[in-house]
Amino acid sequence: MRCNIMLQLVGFIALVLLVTAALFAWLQTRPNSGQNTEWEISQNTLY
Amino acid sequence: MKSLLMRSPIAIALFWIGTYLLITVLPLFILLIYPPPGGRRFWVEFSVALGFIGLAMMALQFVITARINRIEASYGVDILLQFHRFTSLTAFLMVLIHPVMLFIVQPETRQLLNFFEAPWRARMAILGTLAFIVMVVTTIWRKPLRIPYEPWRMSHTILSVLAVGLGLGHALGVGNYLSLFWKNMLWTAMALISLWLIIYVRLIKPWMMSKKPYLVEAVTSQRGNVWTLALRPWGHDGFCFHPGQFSWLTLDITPFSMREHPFSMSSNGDHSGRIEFGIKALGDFTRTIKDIPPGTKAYLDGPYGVFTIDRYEDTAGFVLIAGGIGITPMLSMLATAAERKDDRPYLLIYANKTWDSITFREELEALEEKLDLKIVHVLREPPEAWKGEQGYIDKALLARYIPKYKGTRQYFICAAPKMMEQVEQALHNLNVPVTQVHMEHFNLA
Repeated sequence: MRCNIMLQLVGFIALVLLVTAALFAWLQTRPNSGQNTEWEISQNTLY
Repeated sequence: MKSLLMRSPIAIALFWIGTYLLITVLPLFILLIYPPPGGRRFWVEFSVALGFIGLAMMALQFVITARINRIEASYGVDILLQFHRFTSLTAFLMVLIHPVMLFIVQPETRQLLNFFEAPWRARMAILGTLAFIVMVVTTIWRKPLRIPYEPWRMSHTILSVLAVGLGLGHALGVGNYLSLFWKNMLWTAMALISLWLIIYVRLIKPWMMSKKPYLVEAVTSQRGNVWTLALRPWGHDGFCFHPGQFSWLTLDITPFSMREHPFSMSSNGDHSGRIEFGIKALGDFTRTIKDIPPGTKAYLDGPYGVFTIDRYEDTAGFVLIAGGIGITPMLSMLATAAERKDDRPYLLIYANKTWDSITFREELEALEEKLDLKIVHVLREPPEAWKGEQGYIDKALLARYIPKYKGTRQYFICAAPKMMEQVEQALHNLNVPVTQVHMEHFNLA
């Protein structure tokens, strides 16, 4: 029973970490994240 | 707030889990402050994030396993070790998914697997991952692979340092997120803290132990193939402990050897001048206890453990459930309670094979005179005229003896893993609150 509780706890921690990783990736790759995206570069070269 | 953290197990659990999560994801949050490297896709960033999280989790394992009293005092070494095992496997999966995901979304990265032509940062990743794989395999399958405990422990430490060190070297070498000075410093600080903990566990703590040796005073035979090993401090005052706690014992060898074994103290916790252990002759080390001569040097790292009646001063009484050598911490609890003239009721349900194999039988009978103590012996092979309980401790037996108002007691279980699991389930089925059931697993390796 204790093992089941520990499995659930670690499962929850793993889920939180996966969601955080996904959130990180989304924040880093959204178009207005501050990076020079290909679109912005293409706009810069036009102007 | 402080009172809540000191008293509520739920609050304590939330605090430690929150701290763990915060430390694990903090490096990612700090990376968000800076503009990211451009042109990378979602799955690449996700893979990188998993790599960093896996590396942070690996570094935190050194903290979890360093026997830091403040952390251990909340839940005990056995629960920490179980947490260590499961989170290590989680970190392992994340570390494996990181390159696999990259190989799928950026197939050109597969050429980095060519060890002899790959840059150093990739070689470090390969070697670090291999070290991690060997560590996981030798840990999970240690017994089927017939790896003795002490060589395994040494290799486990070396492989863990390699895995974390090479992982950090790989991250620094790739440099996309770690090319700025203070980001380097953050990860280097984590690595240095981990390294410091290894130095502390392997060098500083053994050195401190070597300054406080003990001498074997007596080795006494007990029923049930058990030996009581009595130690007295040599040149210092020893330590008092909470009855039910355990220590790591190093016998007849330097503490730097790390050949230590955990045993519960069976003596009165308030007596620091003589510390006793009840040790059953089961394995390679324990079978040698009977031959240890008085005067042999010993070293103790302890006390540890939260398996103690001292944490429950406001409970109305205790139910102690033991099997075989699991009686050791219970004897300490009862002996200490008797000397303190504790007037609360104690119920001891003690399972053994035969009447003659009941360890500390006479000592327990003597304690019945000094305490409000009821002992229920449960024998698998009772003698012919036996009128007591027989068989195994199950739900029906427990229902006959545990008090009607179950929440008024604290329940302590110490036995072989299978019996503990069954008794815990039986108590759960009898509606004993789970927060009032306490167990000590003595198979830590």
